[in-house]
Parts: sequence; structure tokens; C-alpha cells
Amino acid sequence: MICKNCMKNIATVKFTEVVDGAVVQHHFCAQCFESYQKELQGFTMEVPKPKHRSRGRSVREKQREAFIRCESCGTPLAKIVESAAVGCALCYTAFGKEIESMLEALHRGPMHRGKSFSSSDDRIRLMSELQSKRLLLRSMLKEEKYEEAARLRDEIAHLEKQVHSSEVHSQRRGE
Amino acid sequence: MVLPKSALSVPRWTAVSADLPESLILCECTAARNLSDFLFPHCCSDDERRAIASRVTGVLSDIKMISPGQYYAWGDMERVVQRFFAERRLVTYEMLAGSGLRGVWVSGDQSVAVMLNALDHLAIRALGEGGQLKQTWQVVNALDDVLGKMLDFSYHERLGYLTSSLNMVGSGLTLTVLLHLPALSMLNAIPEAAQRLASKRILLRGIAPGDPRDLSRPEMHVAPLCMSGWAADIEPARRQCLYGDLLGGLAALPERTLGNLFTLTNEDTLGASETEFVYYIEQAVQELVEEEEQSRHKLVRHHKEHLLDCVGRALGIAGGARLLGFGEALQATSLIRLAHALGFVAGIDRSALNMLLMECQNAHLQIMRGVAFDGHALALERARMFHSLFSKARIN
Repeated sequence: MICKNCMKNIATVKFTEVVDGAVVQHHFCAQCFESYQKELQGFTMEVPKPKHRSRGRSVREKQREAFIRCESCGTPLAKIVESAAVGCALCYTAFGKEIESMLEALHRGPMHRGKSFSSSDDRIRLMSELQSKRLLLRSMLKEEKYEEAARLRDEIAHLEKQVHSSEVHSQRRGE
Repeated sequence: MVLPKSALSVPRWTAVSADLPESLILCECTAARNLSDFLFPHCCSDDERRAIASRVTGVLSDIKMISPGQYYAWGDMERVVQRFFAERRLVTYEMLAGSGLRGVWVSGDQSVAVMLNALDHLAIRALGEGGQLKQTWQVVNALDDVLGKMLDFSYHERLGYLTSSLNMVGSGLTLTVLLHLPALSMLNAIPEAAQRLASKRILLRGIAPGDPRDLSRPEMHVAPLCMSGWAADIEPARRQCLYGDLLGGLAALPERTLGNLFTLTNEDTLGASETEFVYYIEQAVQELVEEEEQSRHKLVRHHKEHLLDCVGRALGIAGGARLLGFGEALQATSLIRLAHALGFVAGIDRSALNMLLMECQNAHLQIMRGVAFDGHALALERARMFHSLFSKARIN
């Protein structure tokens, strides 16, 4: 078969791909394939990651990172170090030291100096209760304790109603 | 899914104020926020994502400070419509490439969008004219204030707003300005400027076409049978578009950019206030725009014939080509924009040139002109569009 690009050489590379749901096949020669690959250089999907973490970490430290997990979302510390992404707000507290040393490498300063956010004590209590009930619900479903899960679901629905009514209240206060 | 007429209307940011330098095209300002009682989206189940979406959209529908909008559930949208929203810069690449239940709320005038369950629970995004970074931030800030009164965001006394990516914690703010810098490019001054700005933690980056997820599946350019050097360079259909992202993975090296288009973005989000970040970016934009103006004068003074030759060729391709690749189209548009700003070409509307940047991309051509998702068909229709716009344009 002749290369579909240069229409001269014999096609030695075959690609099958799915473009918007349709299967498409391509045949081209080694030179055309190489030139295409060169064209892709300088185009990456890499996201900036902190560099200093890989320096001077002992084997023991790496092993610890692989095993230690956030109690709330279950994300292992090793994954956070690798991807610079956390699973929940509580990861910031659970891995405070490690995360702050990563933040040092990524940002110009260690502290937030911008706009602040405040919530009423009642709402904070309501929110943390909701979060812990949701986490409990997850573990109940995992352990197949469906009766307990149903009870928790009702409690969550009730708490969500309370959150909603406090939202409406805040909105009226805002107006 | 049929798009409502409002989604097809001209976005507000494409309108251009007369006194705005030509180099400034678009400002994007995005603030990432998370609700305090849920895990971050990539750890949430679909039920939890649904609860987040319903809570936020319920609040958004009651807000009167922005023009009434509509919520689009991502899963209900066809792929082409999803790409259309990304081309309009209403959603970022993270939304396009993400997984799980997610969606976007878009205001009627397409100046505000709230992405739900992409990287974070909410990403409040405003788009504005190139020179209006401060005003664009003020829109985001005001909406954030209103939402913050009704929703509880994850917030840490010392670290600020908590986000799923450590790159965005603190202010959660990403400021991006899309710039057109042809003269600096022609005089090879971009790498030096990028280096200078990097020391201030500001990133000057190039833009790359297409969806990087597809790069693992190579596809050759469409090569029409023609004299070498004169043939249209037609990219595969999936590379005939430009997306934006929050984490910087889509960026190209400045010297490999398309159509002399660059983005200027803050590198970090923690350690300075929002006002400072806006100020730093504004200063950098001002510096670059001044340098670009000086370079343009230099080009006219010392290389006028070469410049006019390039513009003439660009007008020839834009008005006369029957097949027009995406990269070629952006390059020709860049030279025409430059010539128009220098007064060499008249009768072209700048806001139409801004709109053209979006309309020559694949999903826009598919939706607005009914073209198939095929590199050749898109190039054919793009050439028709350029012909109707530029066939009568002449150098003064």
C-alpha cells in the first residue's frame, strides 16, 4: 500500500483510531511518520509539579508516603506528592507539613494574603456534621450495611434541608 | 442537543473599545472554590456531584447581579457542543477532558460562566475585553462574594481557599490575558521577554492547537496534490481548534505558537492578594504592549517593504485560497490584524477579527456552518468564510 501522505513510498505504519465515534485507519511510510512525530515536540500535557520533594528523600520516607493515607478521602500521601493534587480539604490538615513544604516550592509565599472567607459557627458545625455523615455513609455502603446506610441517608437529607434553609436566610439577609 | 440561540450569539468580549491597543484580545479570570462538606470532585461519587450541582445552580438562579443564564449538564451535550463551549473559552480543557457528572452555567451575554465539578466544585469564570483585567476580576469577585454568603467554601485561615490542585491554593485565582504580538515575534524578542517575566512569576506562553489527548493517536496532515511550497497545509480536524486550561498543560513554547498569539498568566496563587496579582499582570501587559508598539514602529521604519509583502501575501491567501488550514488562517489573520492596526488595510472591523478567531475553529464551523468533522471539509468552509471577509480588502 502507498503512503497516504507522500503518495510515493510504501506504507509501513498503520494506525487505527477513533475520531468522534468513527473508526479511522491511516497508512503512511516511516519518513512521514517521523516528520509527524517531530512536529509534536514542544507540546506537552505536563503540569508544573514541585521539584524539591524528590531531593534527599530516604527510601524509608518514600515507603511511608506510599502507606500513609488521608483518613477522610483515602488519598495516599505518595499520590499527593506525585500529582500535586489532594482529595479533600482535610488532606491539608492530615499532611500539613508535607503539603506546606510542597507549597513553598510552588508559590511566592507561605501564607494567604487575599480575601478572607468567614462562615457562621452554626453553619460550620452543620457542614462538618454533613461531611462526616457522608463519609460514614460511604463506609456503610462499602461494608454492605444497608439499614445503617438508609438511616444515614435520611439524616443527610434532613441536614441538607437545614443547610438550604440557612442559605435562604443568608440570601434574605444579603438582600 | 440543540443549542439555544443565546449560546450562538456574539460574546460580549469580542466588542472592542476604540482606544484599546490592538495587541489586547481577551481577559480570562477564574476563581476556584470548593464546598466545605464534600470531598473534591475527583473523589466524589456521581450522587455527590449531583448534589453539589443542584446546590450551586439553585443559588445561581436566584442571583440578580449577572444576566440570567442557563445550566448545561455536560453529559447531555453532544461532543461537538462541548468543544464549541471550549472554543468560546467558557470552559477550560480540564472540563472537556474530565470525567464524571459535571456541567457549566453560562450567563446570557456569555461574559460569566461557572464550571461545576471539573477540577474543583466551582470555577467562577469571567471573560472581558483584553484591556479590562481589573473589571473582569471585579465581576468574579462580586459573584464570589454573593455565592460565599449562601454557600460554605473550604477555607483555611493560613492557606486561604483550598483547592484540589496545590497549584491553585490560596486565592484560587487564575488570570490570563490573550495577546497578539506579531512585531515582537518577527524581531525574535519573545524568548527574552518570557525570561524576564518568568523571574516575576508571570508566564508568557505560546498556544498549541487541538486536544493533547489525541496526540497519542498520530494522524497525518491532509496533503493536497500540488506544487510543493504552494499547497495548503491542512491539519487533521481535531487539531483545528484552540482551547485554554487552568494548569498550563496546554501551553506551547513561545517560539512555537500559532498566529503570533500568546497568553500571559500568573504562575502562582498563594503569597499575594488578588489585587496584587491583578496589578502584576496589568503591569506586565502594559510593558509588553509598549514593547510591541515600539517594535511595530521599528518594522515600519526599517522593514516596510518586507512587511507589506507579507501582508499582501496574507491578503492573497485569505481572500483567494480555496482550501485554508487552521494554522495558515491564524497566521494570515495575524498579519491582516497588524496591517489594519498600522493603517495599511482599511475596511475591516476589529471585533469581526476577534470573532473570526473563534469562528474558524472546528466546532464553530460544524455548528454554525454545518460542516462535517473532516480536515478537508473544514478547510474548504474556512476558505469560503475568509474569502467573503477579505476578498475586497486591499493595501492602501
